[in-house]
Amino acid sequence: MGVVAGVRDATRIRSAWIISGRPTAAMIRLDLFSTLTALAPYAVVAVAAALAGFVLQNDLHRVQEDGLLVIGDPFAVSLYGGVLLLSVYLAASAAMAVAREREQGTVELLSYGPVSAFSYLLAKFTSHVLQYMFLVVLLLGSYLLLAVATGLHLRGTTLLAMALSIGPAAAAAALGLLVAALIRRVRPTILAVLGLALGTVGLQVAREVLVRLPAPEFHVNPVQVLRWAAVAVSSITQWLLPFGYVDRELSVMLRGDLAGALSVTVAACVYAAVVLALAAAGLDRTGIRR
Amino acid sequence: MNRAVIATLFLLLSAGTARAQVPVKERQFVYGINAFAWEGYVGSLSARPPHTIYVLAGHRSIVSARETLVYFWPITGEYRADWSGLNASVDGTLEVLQAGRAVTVLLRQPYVIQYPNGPDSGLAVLYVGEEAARRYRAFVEARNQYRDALARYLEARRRYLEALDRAAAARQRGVTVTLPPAPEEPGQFRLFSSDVHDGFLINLPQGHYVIRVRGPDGRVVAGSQRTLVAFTHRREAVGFTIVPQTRWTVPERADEPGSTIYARRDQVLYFQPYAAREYNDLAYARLVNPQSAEGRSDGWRWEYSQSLVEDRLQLAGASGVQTVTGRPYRVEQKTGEALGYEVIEPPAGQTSDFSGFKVQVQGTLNLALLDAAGRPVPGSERIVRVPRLGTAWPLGVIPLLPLTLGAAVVAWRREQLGRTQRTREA
Repeated sequence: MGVVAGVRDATRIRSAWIISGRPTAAMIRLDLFSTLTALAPYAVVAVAAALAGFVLQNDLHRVQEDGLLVIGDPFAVSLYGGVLLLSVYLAASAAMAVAREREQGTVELLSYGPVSAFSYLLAKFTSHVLQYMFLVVLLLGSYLLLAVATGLHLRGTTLLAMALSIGPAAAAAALGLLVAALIRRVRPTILAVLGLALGTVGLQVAREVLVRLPAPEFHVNPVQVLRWAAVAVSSITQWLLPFGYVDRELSVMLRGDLAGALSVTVAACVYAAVVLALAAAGLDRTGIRR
Repeated sequence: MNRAVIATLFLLLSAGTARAQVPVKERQFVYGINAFAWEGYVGSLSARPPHTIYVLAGHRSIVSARETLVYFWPITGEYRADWSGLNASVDGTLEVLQAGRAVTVLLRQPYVIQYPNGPDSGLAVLYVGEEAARRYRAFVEARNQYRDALARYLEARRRYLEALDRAAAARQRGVTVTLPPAPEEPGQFRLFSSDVHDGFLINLPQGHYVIRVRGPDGRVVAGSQRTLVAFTHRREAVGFTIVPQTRWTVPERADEPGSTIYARRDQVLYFQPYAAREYNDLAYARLVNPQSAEGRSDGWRWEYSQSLVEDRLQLAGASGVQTVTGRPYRVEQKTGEALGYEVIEPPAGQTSDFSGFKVQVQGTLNLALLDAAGRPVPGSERIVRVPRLGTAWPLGVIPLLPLTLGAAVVAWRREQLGRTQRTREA
């Protein structure tokens, strides 16, 4: 009896894989191939590496001029900039891919086959996460070359931080898919993703500037009000938007707190799963047609 | 008409300016705080509007209940006390509450703060109770003895100078005179002491508390309730102040145990180690000044608690392992046209400007402070590295490599597509 049930289950899984899994895997392969054979991802890595080169050149200049430089991690700023840049690119790329295929009618065409909204978005999500992994390896190669060229040390925590940044990057890709699921057209989708990214980063910068401005505890002044507003809004956006996860994950990991970084990565993965489910529901609701 | 309006406006404005020059003083209940900090006891004021008082957990601080005249000083944006106008002690006991429950009730006791090496030395000792009065008496006695010794010395010096003048005059007349011995100056009097005051001795474990004064009539003194935060450090390590020989006026700090020190080859560095503790930035800023607008609640800062220059520094590099002992050094201005200065070991009898461990950077060095038993002190390990300071062109070329790879991949794809198209057409 149990053997029969087991065989039945296996058959069900196999048929589910044939019906839904194979097309999804094929979409992942196709999507990955088309994105990795374009110039844009390499250009983004090149910009991230150029940023690192600029920062490291500045550090070397300080050693040359002052004779001394004490620094926790020479690659910390570059890493933050690089991972943020890649995450924003990933979100925009995922959003653009869905919005473009929707505009062209590809999504509608796929829906006549055994492809659900969720499996379609899952394919996009997976291909973009795999793309990020490839780009991180490429960026890591650039960092290693820069470390060799400058003699500035690339620490183990930097490598771990890069590896764990997959969580926040996955969250960014999921957000891109959600935006594309909710907005039909390509241009508004891209603008929305870039707006969210720039808004989060701008808010973070404003918060950093405002907390540095002196404001007495017992006087209500404009600085205090603005600071309170910036802290309040950023404390919400850092959980609602994935770019806050990048900041948290890197700052915790670069401090050497592996457990804290792992927990942020897990939180980012949970965020990605939830947002992906929301994106599928959103795509179902807004419809697959042009 | 216009002139009258302008004149009236001018008068009003100048009257406003004149009022701003004289701050309005208000009689208030305040707490005078002498909080323990690693740079010495820090005196501050907690007036109305009330703000949080910060103290270091596990260290003794003093809180005094006073009535004084408080005014707002707009230049610094702080409330200040006119102690000379009014400085009345408020009777009662200090109640310390945590989560609404009384933790302890403190009685007033006399205290004195003394600086054995002078008021600017940082090392401060708090004496409480009978010991405070005894220490203060000893200080007054020592100060009087020094004053008498100084007066005797000045009188002896005056007589000595007169004798010198007489001897010079006699020598001019051709008479040989034996000079009297020069008087010896008394040793410098460094001990500094505050007057004996009374206050509540606070030494609390880490936590958030509420303090208030209950008067002799059993009622809480109006305006005496404050929030008090006893905070402690997050991490302990050995911090280094690094003085480069070429820029000794601009030292760098290497407090973070994971930090790396990059230096030019052949650079001479002087390492000054300190026991360091990491505190919350906002809490420590408010400890030093409760009215401070500085400090970040999400920031951290290292504070030095004690110099460790008496220990030894172990250096491990390509040439092997060696141990360096801390020495005093003197900075001398270079004479002649060449500007600058040089750091030298002070000749006998001369004072030093700083003490530290001299390290000549030749290559990568692993350094650690050794304790008396020869073991590395935890948190003192640092790495000194020499970066490549040559040409900068690789930094411009390396970012082009991913782009080149991308261009190659795109070219390959186009070639593949073209081949497929040609095959179809054929």
